[in-house]
Amino acid sequence: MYLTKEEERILDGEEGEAKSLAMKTVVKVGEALGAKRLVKIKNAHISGISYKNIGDAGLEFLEELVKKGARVSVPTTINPAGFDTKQWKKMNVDSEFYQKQMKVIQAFISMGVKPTLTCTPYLYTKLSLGDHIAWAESNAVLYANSVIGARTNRDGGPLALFEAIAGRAPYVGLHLDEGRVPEVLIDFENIRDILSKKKLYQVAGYIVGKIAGNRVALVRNSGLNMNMQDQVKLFLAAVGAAGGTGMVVLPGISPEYKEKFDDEVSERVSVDETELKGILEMYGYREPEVVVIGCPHLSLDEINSIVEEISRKRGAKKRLLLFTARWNESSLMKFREKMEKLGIEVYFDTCMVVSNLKDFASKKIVTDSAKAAYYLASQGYKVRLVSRMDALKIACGDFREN
Amino acid sequence: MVIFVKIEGRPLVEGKGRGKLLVSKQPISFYGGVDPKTGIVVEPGHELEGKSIAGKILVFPHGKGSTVGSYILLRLKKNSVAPVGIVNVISEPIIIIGCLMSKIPLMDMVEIDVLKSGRLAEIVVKENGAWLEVFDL
Repeated sequence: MYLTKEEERILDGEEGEAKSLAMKTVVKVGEALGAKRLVKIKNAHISGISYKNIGDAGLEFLEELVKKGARVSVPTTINPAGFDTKQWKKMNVDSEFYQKQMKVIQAFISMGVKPTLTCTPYLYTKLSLGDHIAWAESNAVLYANSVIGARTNRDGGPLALFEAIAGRAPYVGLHLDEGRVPEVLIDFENIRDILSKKKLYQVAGYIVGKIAGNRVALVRNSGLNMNMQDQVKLFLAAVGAAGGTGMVVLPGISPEYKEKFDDEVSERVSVDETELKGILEMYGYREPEVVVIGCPHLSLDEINSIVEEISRKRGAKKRLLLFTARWNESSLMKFREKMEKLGIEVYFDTCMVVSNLKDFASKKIVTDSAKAAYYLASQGYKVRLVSRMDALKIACGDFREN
Repeated sequence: MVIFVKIEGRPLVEGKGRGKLLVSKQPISFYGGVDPKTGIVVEPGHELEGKSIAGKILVFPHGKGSTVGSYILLRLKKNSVAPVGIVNVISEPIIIIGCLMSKIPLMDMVEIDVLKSGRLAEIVVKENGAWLEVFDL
């Protein structure tokens, strides 16, 4: 691989042991992926924050990096942790887990990372078309590439950390123009009306992920547009859970869409209602006890509309748990009493997937997120997947099966 | 003991290890697929389910699944139940980084079809070359 003089100096340890190690890792990965050089990045976002997942080995590894003087070279944010850092006792988190998790967060802070603890960095980080970034967390990667037109591969948690320290990523895959051209066209024409009537875009996303695999996909007739950010988020998160791709092209939303893409794809797939029904049946548990919403983390607008809706329905009868970023805490302060009265619980810094949901809520849940459905079912939860509207109806006890 | 076969590949993470081969034709997800405490494959239905990867030279086509997998390799190493080397058809970042972090020798671009579980072997990965020597018992 071609390295600049500056990169070689970093590799040789002139900017410290940690940066050299980071550069070495990024170069190794780049070589394995066939990159000819590295590209400077503007921003990084790291996943793999929950102590539940990375364990003592992960914690020790991060603390060793800190000891070696590791610092991130670009603005860097992190994914949700294993609990809400203020309401952890209410979540039945034991004190050992609490302390270990806080040490993980502290290690990141020591490296200069902003402890945002959210999977939606795209709501708070200003990015532009064509920016090169290094993001882990699949829903954020898909949003950056598909909606903003910023460029990142679907990097893993540790790789994004090394890229943040090195300030560079391998110039390969979705960083390149040719890596961003769709190879498969997925058409929802046959079920477009059902999607828009039942607001089941997350199920469409799940289907896209399954079909696309690792390929960039062009999605036709989804019915999505940029006035439906909530649905776009749910759709992309589902793509990332069901498949390995880091980008989909949505005409009307993706700034890089070109008409010629429609003719250039090598494969075309048309989706019908059977596939939609199959997924709803897979996540069709009929007796959920708790409603969980916020995968990806809810935006302030989304929370406001949920509060309004629950207010119209005169409060929730089942427990209704919302997950969002700490950023929104102060804006939500004025609603705190109102939300409590309506039976809405809001959690920050964490989510239903990376926390121990069953320890403070239930193992029988209903959600509007296909991503959460996928990961919770794989952890043994009983899951019902419905539209957000229906999830709120179930919460308020006015849902009718059809 | 004589060398039965020597296979060359692409060097990815330097080091040396000796152990019995454990070969999987299926990809492996370390996160959720391998118990970090015991090194036993726990993925339901996986061809290696119930088998231990501890001390083995683990051979599989490529990784899959969550990128937390890199940390699982590190946890395996700290718990002394990591493989002594990994051989892939094609390694992706999860495996490369996991091996770099936990100093497990890694090579790829190997035709793994000829390899059989149970044979004693040695993996050697150097900056300019990597090979796997399988011994004839």
